[in-house]
Amino acid sequence: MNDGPANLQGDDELLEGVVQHFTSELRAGRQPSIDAFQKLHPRLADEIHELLSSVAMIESLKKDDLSHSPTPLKNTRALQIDRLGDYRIIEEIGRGGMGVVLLGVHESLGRRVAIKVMPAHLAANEKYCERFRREAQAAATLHHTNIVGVFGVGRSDGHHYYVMEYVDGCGLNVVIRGLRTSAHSATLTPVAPAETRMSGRPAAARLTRADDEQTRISMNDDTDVLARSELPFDLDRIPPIPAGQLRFRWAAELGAQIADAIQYAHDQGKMHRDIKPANLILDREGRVWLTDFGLVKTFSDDSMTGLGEIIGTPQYMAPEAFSGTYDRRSEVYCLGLTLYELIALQPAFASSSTTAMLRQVTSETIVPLRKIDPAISRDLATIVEKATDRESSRRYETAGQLRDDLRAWMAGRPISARRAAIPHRLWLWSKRNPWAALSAALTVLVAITATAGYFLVSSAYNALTVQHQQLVDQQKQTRAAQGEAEKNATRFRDQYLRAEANIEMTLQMFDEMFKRMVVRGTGDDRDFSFDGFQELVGVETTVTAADAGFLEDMLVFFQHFAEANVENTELRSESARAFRRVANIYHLTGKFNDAVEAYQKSLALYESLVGQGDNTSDWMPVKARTANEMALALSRSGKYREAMDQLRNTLQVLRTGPRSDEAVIQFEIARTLNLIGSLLPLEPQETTPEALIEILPPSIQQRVRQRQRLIDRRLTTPVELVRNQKSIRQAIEILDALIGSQGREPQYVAERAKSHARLAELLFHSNDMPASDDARSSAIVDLEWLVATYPTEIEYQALFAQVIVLPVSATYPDRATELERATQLTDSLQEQRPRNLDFAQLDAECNYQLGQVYFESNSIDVAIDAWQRCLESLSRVVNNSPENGKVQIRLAATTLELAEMMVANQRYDRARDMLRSSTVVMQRQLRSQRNGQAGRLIISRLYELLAKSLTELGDERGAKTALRQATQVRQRPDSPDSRQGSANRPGPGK
Amino acid sequence: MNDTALPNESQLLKELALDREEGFARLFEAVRLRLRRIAGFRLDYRLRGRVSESDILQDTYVRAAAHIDRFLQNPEFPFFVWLRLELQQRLAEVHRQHLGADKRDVRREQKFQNAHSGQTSIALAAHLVGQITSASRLVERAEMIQALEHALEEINAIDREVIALRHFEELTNIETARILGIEPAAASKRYLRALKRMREIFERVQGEMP
Repeated sequence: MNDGPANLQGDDELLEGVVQHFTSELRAGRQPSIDAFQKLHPRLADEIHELLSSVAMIESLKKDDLSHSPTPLKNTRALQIDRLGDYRIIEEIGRGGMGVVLLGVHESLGRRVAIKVMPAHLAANEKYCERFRREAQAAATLHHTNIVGVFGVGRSDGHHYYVMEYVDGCGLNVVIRGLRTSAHSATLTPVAPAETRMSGRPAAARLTRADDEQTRISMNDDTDVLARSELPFDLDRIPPIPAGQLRFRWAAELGAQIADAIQYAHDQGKMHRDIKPANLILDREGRVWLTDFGLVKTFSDDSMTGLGEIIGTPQYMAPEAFSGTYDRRSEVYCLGLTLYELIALQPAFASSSTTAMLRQVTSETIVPLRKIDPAISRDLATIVEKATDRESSRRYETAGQLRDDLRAWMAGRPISARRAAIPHRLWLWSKRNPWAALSAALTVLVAITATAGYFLVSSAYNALTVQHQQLVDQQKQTRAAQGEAEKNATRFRDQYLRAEANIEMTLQMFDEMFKRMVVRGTGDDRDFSFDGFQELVGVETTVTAADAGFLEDMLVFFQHFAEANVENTELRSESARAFRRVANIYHLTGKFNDAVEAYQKSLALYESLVGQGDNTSDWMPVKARTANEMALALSRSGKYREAMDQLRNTLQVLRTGPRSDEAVIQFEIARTLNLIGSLLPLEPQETTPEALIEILPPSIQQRVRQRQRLIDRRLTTPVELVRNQKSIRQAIEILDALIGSQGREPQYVAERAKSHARLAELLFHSNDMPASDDARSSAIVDLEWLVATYPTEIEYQALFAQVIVLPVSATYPDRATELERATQLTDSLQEQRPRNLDFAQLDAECNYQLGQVYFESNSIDVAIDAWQRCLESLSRVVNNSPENGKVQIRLAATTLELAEMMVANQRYDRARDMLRSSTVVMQRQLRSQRNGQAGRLIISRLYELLAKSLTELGDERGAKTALRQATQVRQRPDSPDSRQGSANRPGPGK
Repeated sequence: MNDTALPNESQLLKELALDREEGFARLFEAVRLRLRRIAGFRLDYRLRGRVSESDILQDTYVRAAAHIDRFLQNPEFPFFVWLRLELQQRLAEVHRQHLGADKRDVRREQKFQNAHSGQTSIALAAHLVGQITSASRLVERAEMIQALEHALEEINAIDREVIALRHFEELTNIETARILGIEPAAASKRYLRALKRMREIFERVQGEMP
């Protein structure tokens, strides 16, 4: 046998041929036998079997798929029926999964009716027929203005049918599709004024019939397999539907009518079970009718109902229905979906295959209405959101409540749904922030813990603790009951442990979330702490509004937790930590007084732990950190003296405590000393850029300059500078010793680098330039080592860049190279953590300084490049945290500075290119932020610079326009657009 | 649906050269169902309801008709493969427009396959699941799709693409090879290998499922 490669190739060719042959046979609808192919090539029999069964499997999967492709109409043959019992049949008006709908006339009464004829293949089954009768009889007892009445069931010539009120109108699915088409193709035809007055709707549009052919009997519509219209009607049969805000009111009105009907049915103990647009008819008067009550149940598959009644249309099924639970709130959900579709003009879930649909319905969230159309009122969106909450317990209890809220909204009254509850918002938040990778697990936990469930667990835990103790006592006392007691004790201990585990896990989760948000994915799993270093550099941790909201929500959790468990010894340390987190949150959101209060509570708890047992020193470091954080909060709220006292106190405690010579304690001492060294009597404040000062009105200019001098003077107050230097030198000594005895632990090295960097800054302000540069070099040596040794630790890279941007003496060698290095680092940091705004700010700072260095060395164009990169990074920060006013001003000032520089250096074309876009962007920001006079002045000046550039470039007209803009911006306090914006905001009932 | 045969390539080009508009319309009609199948398979499930396959085909027609001169000047691909590329570009536009798909990947058409290979496994998984579960196990399906997606990710991305092209788009080996930019023999090799892997995965997943 030759098994050479040539032969293998030949085998492949042969196998390819076999597979192709087999496949085409399959596709031709024949059933080729694998056996036969095997016999043809016995040598490759095994392989052939393997390949062909795979092909057969794959091809068979497509059967599902084929049903979506257009196939010729099946069963289009209309029912050839002239009469059914007492009814004369006029025409077929619809067709769907539930049978054919006919328009009939009651011979003796002359009444028009709609007759639904049961599909023949189902009619053969006696059980279905029986159910059909039963459901129809049940539905016949419902009498409501929005429910299509059922007159009865009948049987004639082997046809089973169901006689209903005839409603002259149009299925809501068709209406929605019509609206969608007209909205998309913008073919809304305004209605003649007379008609408008008659209908009482100022802005109305008539639907075109363009879509009609397609939807007439939409069973074979290509993609819409699941949303088949079962009762199609002409669009001409309905009144014009208003556009814009009025359409939302129209939708709400319809929703309220349906909700009322459903509430009525529920009161009668009846459920519809298949609420969806196709089962709702809009009549000529604009009233909506619910049809096919309970009918879906009739035809539900037995095997399914046996498993918990999974019936209905997947697209419009409540999530819980998939697990066999269906109740009134499920109907609220379905109504909510319909309402959603009426408002959004698109289904909440849309998918062509059942499997994809299931995936969506059971695991995906609905796109928020306001994302689809921001014009939708927040309250209305909230109502729909509440009705369609995945969790049935968070929906409206009853359809009546939904109706009431819709009516309240229409009348401009407050709605009951309001803001979603805290846990829900937490959940939403975690959804919106994909970097919180643990959100999936968290969602579940939040559901258990942040709601009442948590308190149950928590209080159960406390109760169990007591019970557990009692049982142990009992066990000791009564020997007779020992066996029983032991059994009970085991049971309780299990519960106890479970509860404890739950609490711990939850707490850890929250802690994790907190850290991830605050540390911004630095991958730092060490204890989060404030060390004031970032503030020193002027790059503060950016807390966005969304973060702040989330933090506040977490606050509630931590606070409850901390308070509920103060008494519990075992949970006391957790409570202390929780209080610390509460304090951190306040700290980050700028509520320093509240933060201090929470820190104190945490410290008191830690105090009680420190005093207990033999593990005293274990609590020392964490207590010291908490105390130091509190000192920072104090200092930031302007209580410098108290902050200093606090730090000194901590230092004292650490130094005099037991085992104070241990490395952990020594390290804390060094950290505390470092903090003492960074604390200054006044908070570091950003100096106002000169370019900004110059354009201010003279009176303000003077004040700003005064303050500037004050800041400068503060920084050169020798007493503090000298004392702080001393403190930091002590810290460095300790860290040197630690590194000497413990080895180069990265945390020690990093702390020492920070110390040197702080020292460099202090020396810089004392005008001791050579010493400052020396300290800086020491910091950089340590950082070089850290970055080289721990290349994946991005915290060190960030620290490195931060140190580089600290101010240096004019004689500092090769500053440009160093800054280029820093920008490389920040580039890589941003690439790794694109969401981290601190890194973006750091990048901006690096590039700014780089620009300055180049500018000073007269490399104008390279300097412009660097400054533009700086602006890009700042813009990103502004775009992502629009409420951060400080950065906004920074952006504006830097833009101005760069523009002035460009014009001064005759780079008019670059100035023009930049200013054309930045003026527009900044004006938009000004509008949304109301940055007041300073912002207007900057923009006005930018327009002047633009005008100057355009003049130089010979564009006189453009220059004139720019000048006009400059005057306009300077004069007008509010631009016209802002007023227009508020008028557009929907205000229900105003 | 391979039945609607196209004339052979040279005759086809002649036909097109003879009457550009009429000829193109006729040829497009001949492959409409195949293109539609491709659109159906490739269109992100999130877009169904918002974008119909007919719309995509319509746009593809317009797009291709506008580019027909360029195609005739330099027919570097067979007609059908070229049309499919036009369709793919239209799909990419639609996805980008609606889902903001990764612009970096779509910018270069060669990368299109890679950008969508994840989606290929989703589509494949959905079909697999559709087959092996009974109607009563509705909820588990979603989980199964995920399990399968996961399993399919194990297959080499190009191999997976080969399966999708040959079975779900019903392309020939030559067409598949052209689209992936590899030799037909290599495409065939990948195909046979992928078939074997598919069977393994199918059996394993079926075994895992309750």
